[in-house]
Amino acid sequence: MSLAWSLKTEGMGRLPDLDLGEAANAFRREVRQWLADSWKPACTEAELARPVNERLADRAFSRLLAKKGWLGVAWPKQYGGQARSALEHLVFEEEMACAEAPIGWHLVGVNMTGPAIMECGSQQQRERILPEILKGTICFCLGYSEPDCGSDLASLQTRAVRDGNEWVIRGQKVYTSSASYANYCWLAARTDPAAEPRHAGISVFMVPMDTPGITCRPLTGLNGQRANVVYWDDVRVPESAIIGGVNEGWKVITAALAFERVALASIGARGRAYFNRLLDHVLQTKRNGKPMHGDPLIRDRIASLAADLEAARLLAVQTARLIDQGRVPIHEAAMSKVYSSELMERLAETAFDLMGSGASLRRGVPSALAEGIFEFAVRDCLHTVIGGGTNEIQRTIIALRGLGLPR
Amino acid sequence: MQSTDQEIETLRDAARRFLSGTWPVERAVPSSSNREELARLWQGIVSQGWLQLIEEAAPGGMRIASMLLEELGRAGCPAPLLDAVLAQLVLSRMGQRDEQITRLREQLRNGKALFSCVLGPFDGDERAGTFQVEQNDETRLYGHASFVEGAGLATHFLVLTGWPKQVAIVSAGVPGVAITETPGLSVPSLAEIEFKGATAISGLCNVDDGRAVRALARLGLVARSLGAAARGFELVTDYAKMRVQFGKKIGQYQAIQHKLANCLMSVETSRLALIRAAVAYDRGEPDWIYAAGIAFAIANPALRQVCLETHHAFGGVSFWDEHEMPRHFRRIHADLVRCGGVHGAREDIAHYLLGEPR
Repeated sequence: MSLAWSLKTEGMGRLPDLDLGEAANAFRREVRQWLADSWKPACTEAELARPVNERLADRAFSRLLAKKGWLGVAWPKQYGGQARSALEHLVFEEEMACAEAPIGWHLVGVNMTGPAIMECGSQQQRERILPEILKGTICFCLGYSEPDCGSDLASLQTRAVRDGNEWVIRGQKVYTSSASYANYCWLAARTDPAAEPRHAGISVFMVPMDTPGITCRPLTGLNGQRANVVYWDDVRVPESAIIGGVNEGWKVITAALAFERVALASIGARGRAYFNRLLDHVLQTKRNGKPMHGDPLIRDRIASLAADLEAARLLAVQTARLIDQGRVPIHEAAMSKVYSSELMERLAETAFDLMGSGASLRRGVPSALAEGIFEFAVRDCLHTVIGGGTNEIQRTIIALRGLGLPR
Repeated sequence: MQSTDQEIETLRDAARRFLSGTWPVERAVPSSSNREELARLWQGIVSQGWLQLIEEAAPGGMRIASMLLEELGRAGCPAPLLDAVLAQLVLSRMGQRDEQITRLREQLRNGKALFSCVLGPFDGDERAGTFQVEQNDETRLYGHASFVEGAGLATHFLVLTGWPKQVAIVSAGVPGVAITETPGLSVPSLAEIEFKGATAISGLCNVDDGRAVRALARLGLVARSLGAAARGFELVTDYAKMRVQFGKKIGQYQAIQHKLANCLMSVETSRLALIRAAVAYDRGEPDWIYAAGIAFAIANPALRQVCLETHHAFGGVSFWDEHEMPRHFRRIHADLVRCGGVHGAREDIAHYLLGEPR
């Protein structure tokens, strides 16, 4: 197969797809076609007015994917998955991201908590919970961040104290996305306050969100996302809510990172979708009576972004390939996340530069350029830099694990 | 007469005290979309004598105006001072003996007239608007304007029509004016206006051309964005001094130190360039339009980056609307994309240095 072979079908104005091998290429085509046939993005005023994460957490869409068997694309067959390669998983996540498909309902379950249960859960928990995730019936929120604990998760203060056969949880979590509609919280709490090192005293609980004592106060993000401050006031849960054993929470939290790394690698795919919209604008627009695409300055900025997007894609593919080789891409995944998330910021800022004031009008306004997509992107891309481990933390990982620099 | 730095700082303290009382941080966001509150605030600003201060500093006044606009940006306050400054400039260059213009200037000064300025063909953005003026017994204005600030509150629209030095002034209430809000990053929303034969007062404006108005608008946009960016930067610097992660204040990590050091350089170069251009205008220096372009070209990418880095250093803390930063993010990005954005300013600089083509 020629190295130059690509899936490019739409001619000028699109970044070409990368040849990822026969299986991944075929799967990309299949997913893309399925999306085109089965799903249309929300576009009504009422839909667009909803918090973005609630709009993108569509239970019905998750069930549609479940019927197709695509919630467990990369899960092992023994747990009901399709056991596809990490490259195929990447392709799948990329196509979902490009289409802005509403995957929020199942995302955490499929890519984080499900794999952690496979790795650390009891047999009873695996049998009970994993099939529900694959059916698209369960949505998780993550109860990690606290007012004084963000990047430094090991310093969390929320306490869980044993009382007979139950645990009593008290504390506060912040910025908890999905808490308003998730049916479970994947909660990290301190079960041994004296433990040294501190992360040795943490346990993970899977708590139904309708348990008495849980209350949510909504927050709205710059990107229109709804998150919550979640108060845990003497919330009682049974022993069986613990995943992976008492004080074994750190292992549970880090267990699922391979899947999460692939999911994070798809950030750049969203960037490519945005970039294609920018290309459309440049190709279709005249400035001072001349086509924008003929302006050397604009050509330079477009080409520069294209080169950055290709670099981001190569870093993402490298991460997936290492996983397929049975290796653990720690600093490679961090490089991919840093590069692609900061590229998203550059891309949105560049679009503002090239498009002018019309880029600052939002979706639904008839005169908004590119249907307002960059008005959203410029607010949303910060989330990719800050979320999933801030880029400062990722750079530390790159320095320590990739370069072996001293701590 | 030029104000001294000390006078400016004294005025700044007074403006900051006034805004902290009338436009407190915790009410800034809901108040920004409330016309009644904005109208009340504007009367307060008029009572403070801000417009008179700017006018009496003539032939300059931009140094004071830019400081006041910076304070408005800092407070997240969308009071229509920039449009008032632009209107002051244009009206002062129109027929001094024209009674209507004299009356409008007086109404502007005492807060009875509130202007929204439409730069149209001089905006720097091709989509900003095109107009036709029909002059028979009356003057009538036709055309479409986009990206108009303060349209909901305005009593008058001051339109640079694109005809040589011609200005049309339209009362907001007359037939033939249709305003449509265009929501987006800007709070309150910008608007589009259709003029369908609206009766207008027209006159000639004795400025070189609309480029001078655009240059002043750019300075105002830089000033507001600088206030917003500098406020966010102050907040994150304080935060870095107290937020502890991994047993250390985050300001002790070089990653944060270097990030904030870069931000300080960006804020300071933006401020210096703004002051330099404002002083050049106040002194009537022939190259003041060039200096204004330089200020916009320096501050535009610099302040946007400061805004992003501020958010990065805050982590998740500043992403939510209970924090001040989202309003500053909106202000900075909404303002700096206007008037042709950074490319428009660079093109004007290149035109000054290299001549045609524009």
